[in-house]
Amino acid sequence: MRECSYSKCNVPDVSCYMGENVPSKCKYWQEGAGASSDSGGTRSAGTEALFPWSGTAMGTGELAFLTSRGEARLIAIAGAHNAGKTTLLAAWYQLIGRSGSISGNPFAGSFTLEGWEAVGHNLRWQGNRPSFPPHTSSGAGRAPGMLHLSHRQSDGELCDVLFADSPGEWFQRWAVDKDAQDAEGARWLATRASSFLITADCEVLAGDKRGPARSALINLIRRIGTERGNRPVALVWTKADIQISDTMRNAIREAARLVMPDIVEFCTSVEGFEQGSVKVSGADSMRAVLNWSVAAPSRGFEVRAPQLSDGDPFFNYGNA
Amino acid sequence: MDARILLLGESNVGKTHFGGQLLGRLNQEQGYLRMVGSVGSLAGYEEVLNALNDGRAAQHTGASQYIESTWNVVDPDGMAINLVWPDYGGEQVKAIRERRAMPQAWRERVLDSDAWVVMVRVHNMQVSDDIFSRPIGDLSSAENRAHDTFELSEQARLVEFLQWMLFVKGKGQLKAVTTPQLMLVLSCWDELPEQEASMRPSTVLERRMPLVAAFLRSNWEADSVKVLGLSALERPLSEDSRDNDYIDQGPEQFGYIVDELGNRSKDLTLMFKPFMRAG
Repeated sequence: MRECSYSKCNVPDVSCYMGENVPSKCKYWQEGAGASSDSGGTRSAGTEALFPWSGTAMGTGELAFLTSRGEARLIAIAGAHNAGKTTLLAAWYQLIGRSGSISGNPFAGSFTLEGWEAVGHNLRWQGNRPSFPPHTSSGAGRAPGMLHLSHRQSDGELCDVLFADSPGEWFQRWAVDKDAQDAEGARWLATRASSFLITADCEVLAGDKRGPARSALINLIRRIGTERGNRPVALVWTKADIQISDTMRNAIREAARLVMPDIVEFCTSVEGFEQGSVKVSGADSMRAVLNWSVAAPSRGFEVRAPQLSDGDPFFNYGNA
Repeated sequence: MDARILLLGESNVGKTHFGGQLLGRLNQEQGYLRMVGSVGSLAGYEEVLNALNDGRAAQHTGASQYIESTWNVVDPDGMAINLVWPDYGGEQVKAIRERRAMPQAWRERVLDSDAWVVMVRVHNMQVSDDIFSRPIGDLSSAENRAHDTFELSEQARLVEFLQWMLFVKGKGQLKAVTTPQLMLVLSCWDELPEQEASMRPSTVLERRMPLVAAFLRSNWEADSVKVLGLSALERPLSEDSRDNDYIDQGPEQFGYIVDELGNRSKDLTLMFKPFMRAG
């Protein structure tokens, strides 16, 4: 398979690291034309210790390394474009960075620290004023970029969790047409996830386009309801500092409970907000979703088998 | 074979000054450790010792100037260890980060080592404010940032560095690590505000680098990881002006380590005592 010559980039598994919509526009891809990264001239002749993780969001190629040490939990975050999925991840990373704690357990490492920093730095007062992270580009990826965290449970066991940061367009297409050609990433996730978070964007659900937004969200809820088996699902009302009508909220809620009676709900916002008469801090609202996510049971998923291909049959591995 | 201890630290963490001050203590032969025979290589430290004796700070060590040295030292019971100061510049770590690969020479040092002493400049380490610690009123109207450049936070860099080291050493993270032992040295302790300077080093680490503190707690056995404080010079020195106290009393009268309980000692060689006991 053709791979990018840039060691940090997992295209075409995930979107281009440099942000190009198609890899052919990227200078690294062009530089490595006709060659794979293994022979792309960026590595020395076998004397260096190569790290099997790039530090950026993981593609499926890196999963074999991680999952060889135990089963990882995969959390699929589904929702429309601009519904705050990446902001959830950024907020979690900031909260973990400030406490060292994941649901009460100590942080034990991450193979995607650069990927986490890429989203988390947006929320920091560092040179710039904070802002929302950029949208996740839909690009040409076939699988979501995954951010990894591990924590040490109280019984001493190491627990690996993967969070899928996927573009909203994938799920919108998948909700309408399960077999849509451009929804491969959503299907990939839907079959492998340990649990699902569905984001409901209060800003859109309170605005002029709330009708189509409600319809699209309910389609997504139904699709996940059909596909999830018995895996846990949470409905996350994002930007909860913006009020939406009870009619709207109830319509979505009823649709969700009809297909998933056990669905749990959360309200989140980066700013503090009122829930009923209770004041909720932004940090607490984000933390509650993280805690629920990492508590989800693990579920095995198939990892792409490692393969080496060479003209010499002695060096072929995994191709039998 | 004697235990080998790798002393690591990116540029500007005070590694050269610590080396010079430690060498002064070892040569004095009044501390816990003493040098066995003559020092194999004083290269790189001669200038440092001269500057300190003249009450000045040594010049910044360029990545290419640094020369690897190994000091063989013994404790009062005759137990020996090798302190290995590798050729190590910030540029090299940057290259490892970019290439996602550790060069052969580095790899061999890591494989041969029994313990790691990692120096970080504690004053530079601080979790920056974010929207949760310092809210912004109108974030909802803020535009998305373009793909702007950013630097990894200090704590993410250190965790990533330790993950490289563990990987190359062949240590998985499924079970807590007992060897190599790790000592995290919070250097330039005198730069800390007074309130923090009186705390235990592990407490300061928890406050300033919670992610690193949790990473150490998760991945090393409690007995195999230590957090110490260090002020190699005890006060700021300048390359241009001279400190008369240093000139009159000698640099060996300055500098201290802060042990795990927060107690200070002027004997910088005591830093390595935990490794001697274990060895």
